[in-house]
Amino acid sequence: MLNTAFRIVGTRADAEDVLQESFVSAFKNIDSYREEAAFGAWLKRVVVNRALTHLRNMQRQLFFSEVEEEPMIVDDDPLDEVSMELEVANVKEAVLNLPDGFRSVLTLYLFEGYDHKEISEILNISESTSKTQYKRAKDKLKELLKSKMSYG
Amino acid sequence: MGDLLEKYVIDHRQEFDDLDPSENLWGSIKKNLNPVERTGTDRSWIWKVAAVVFLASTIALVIERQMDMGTSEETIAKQEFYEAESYYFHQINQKKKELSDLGIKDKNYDLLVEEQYLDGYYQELKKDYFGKMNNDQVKDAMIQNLRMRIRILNDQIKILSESKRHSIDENNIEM
Repeated sequence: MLNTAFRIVGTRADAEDVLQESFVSAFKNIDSYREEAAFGAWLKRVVVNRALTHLRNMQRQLFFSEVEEEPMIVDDDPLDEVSMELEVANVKEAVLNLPDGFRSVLTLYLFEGYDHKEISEILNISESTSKTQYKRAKDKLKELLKSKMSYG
Repeated sequence: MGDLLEKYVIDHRQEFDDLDPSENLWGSIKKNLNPVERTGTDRSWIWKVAAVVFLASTIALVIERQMDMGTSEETIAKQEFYEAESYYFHQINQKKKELSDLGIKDKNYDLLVEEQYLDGYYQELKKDYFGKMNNDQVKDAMIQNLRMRIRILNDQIKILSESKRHSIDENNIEM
């Protein structure tokens, strides 16, 4: 749960605050827990929502473009050449350097396993926006990784 | 084209979760949960107050009812006593009237002394009965006292009646 919060809010201190608020809120609102979902999944959702609220409270507006922009022209997967050189630490760092909007969608989809329908509900955006945003976020991440590997 | 980045993340998913909560995090959570516990206590406090109020009102009602019963029992006992006293005094007065009808002008000295003694004793018993010694023994003693007075009067009437009959008979014989 701490890792989930950390990937969304970006700092350990904020992640711990989010976790603390989430657990307190979850226990206080335990009545709202419906047994149709696993307790762990429900608690994780509380943490995710809190983390996103935390980001908004930090006045970091999540920008999700509803307009279909021109797709980035990517001839090949930018990571093809360097895939074998990937390291967990590098990927983590690159994720943290993503803009908030990108990072939120990418984290929810790639790391937390939510599908685009669920993400559209969590972030109050359309499903297609979630898909587009994820695609851009992933491409941006690859760019960051490539750049890191080229200059690092 | 397969996405190598996605595959890499999925394959190494566990390694991305390397942060552990700091030691004081649970302490902070626990501290913040205390108000919830207090809320629970508050609810039980309300129930405790409700239980005490209920118990107190029940006890008050029982005591009140017992007091009412006590008062009414006392009133009934007094009423019964006055009825008995009135009955016996009525009997005594009737016997005295009978004695008077028998033409006794001056009361027998012994009878007078005895009546005064019994009457004094009766007043003492009555004082006790309405005072601290409110019990059946005192009440019985008072009844005995009144009955004794009636018996004495009856005896006296009997003696005088016979004495009077004898004197009449004697007069008839003389005639």
